[in-house]
Amino acid sequence: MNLLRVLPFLLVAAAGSALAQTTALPARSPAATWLEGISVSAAVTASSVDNISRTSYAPTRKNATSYELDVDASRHQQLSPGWLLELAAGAGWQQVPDYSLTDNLTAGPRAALQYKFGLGPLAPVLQFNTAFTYKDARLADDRGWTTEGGIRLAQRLDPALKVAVGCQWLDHNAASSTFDLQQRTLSFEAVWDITEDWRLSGSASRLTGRVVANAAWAVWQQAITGGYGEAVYDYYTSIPSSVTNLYGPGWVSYNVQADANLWSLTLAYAVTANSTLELRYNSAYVINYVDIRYPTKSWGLGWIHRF
Amino acid sequence: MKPLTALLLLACTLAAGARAAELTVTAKTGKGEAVPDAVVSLVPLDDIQPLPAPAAGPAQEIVQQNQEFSPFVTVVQAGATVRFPNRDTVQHHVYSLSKAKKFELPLYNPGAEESFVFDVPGVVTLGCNIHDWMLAYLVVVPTPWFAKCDAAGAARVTAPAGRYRLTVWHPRLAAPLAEEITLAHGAPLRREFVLTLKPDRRIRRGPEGKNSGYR
Repeated sequence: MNLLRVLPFLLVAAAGSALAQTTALPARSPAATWLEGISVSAAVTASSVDNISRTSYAPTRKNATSYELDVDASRHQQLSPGWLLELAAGAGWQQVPDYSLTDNLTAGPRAALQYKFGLGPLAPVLQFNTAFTYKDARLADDRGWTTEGGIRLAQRLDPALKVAVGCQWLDHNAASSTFDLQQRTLSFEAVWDITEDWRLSGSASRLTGRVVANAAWAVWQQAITGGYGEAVYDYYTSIPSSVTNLYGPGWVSYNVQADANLWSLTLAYAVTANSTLELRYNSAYVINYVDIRYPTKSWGLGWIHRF
Repeated sequence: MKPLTALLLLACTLAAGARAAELTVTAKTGKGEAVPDAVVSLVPLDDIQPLPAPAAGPAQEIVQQNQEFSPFVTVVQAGATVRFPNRDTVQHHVYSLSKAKKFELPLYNPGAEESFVFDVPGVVTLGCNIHDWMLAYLVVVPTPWFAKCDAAGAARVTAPAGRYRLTVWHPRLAAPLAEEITLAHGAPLRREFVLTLKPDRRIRRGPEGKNSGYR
């Protein structure tokens, strides 16, 4: 995984290169104008995650600090007075020093087509989006392509308050079926610009589909030998699983059908016109097909900069 | 007011047989902070016929640059032409829904430039339908005697001696302030206004965060 080691430098170099292109090109040739319209942003986040291992048995849950770097380049093109197309490419790198097998790189293009019903900031906006992302995980089993699609309807209720509802589909086709994902998520978001500098936003989502959970070997052994009852035995012996050692020797990853309630709350401060600091709380309460639960929560501090 | 404009107005004033008088307005908040961008206008209460036409010369312009309008507040006399050059690197969709002038410039590419005549007095609120945070005001006044407060909150207007309705407008005022004044030659008048400003409800422009969800 040499790629993972050099990745942060590649991402920063790519962002720098894109930025240099947008600033150094001679003025006003069509190609230069097109490139000048590219907007580049980067985000760095450090998160403290409780139960990063997505483990049901509390004594074996693992907590860790996770670091993320995301770089995104996008360009908007107005197709008609109402329709706006956004084309973008992004790359992200996630590192968890305590559990480095979970480190991964993601990269790929995305597109969004949005229609604004009328003029002005209070006009509703309907957006269709899609993304294709390759995940290069340190763990080979988790590598593969992720396809996403979604619809989102956003409405600003006043200059300071925006709400949105959305539905998102995700399909991750991994090298191993243990890491395959098929999910759909319904979500509600609200964004409140408290002042010119401070923003509070929150979201509540309901996810349904396949997720990956993990168990220490001793716990997994109990599950697949009937120690937690017949229902767990029947289900856990029928689902994809593999010993991955993600969170310690003998740890098992397994793929379950589940429902999840997701919550997030973010307090953001605009340090400058182009930089924002964010404090984010995320919570996920996952219940699988046989009523096994995986609560997860995290606190993150992020810095987002638009170049 | 630009020197050339002031000279032209002065010439018109002298031609009309009147003598110029000077008004200086300062605008500040209750805490004593200067209020820039307040618009001061003088509408004559005495019969001055005809009112001088909008000053000749280059039209005022409201530029789109760095995904913002500049300047934030522009003031012109009714009948004036205003240009809207896109000097940005991205498209814009400039519009106004204001009664004083409804218009839109969709698919407005970098380098494009359109102009409009604004002949109805009133406040024209400008926005960009792609970049919701972009906001500017064009104040169209029915008089050639106007000015905009500078960074120190000061504005100076030279007009023929006489009675006027002095109006002060600012985007964060609930309603314009108005009072009657009399300008006299050789007796510069100073007026100070304490403005009660509403919170600035401009749409925030900061970069959006990322919520990667649960995978």
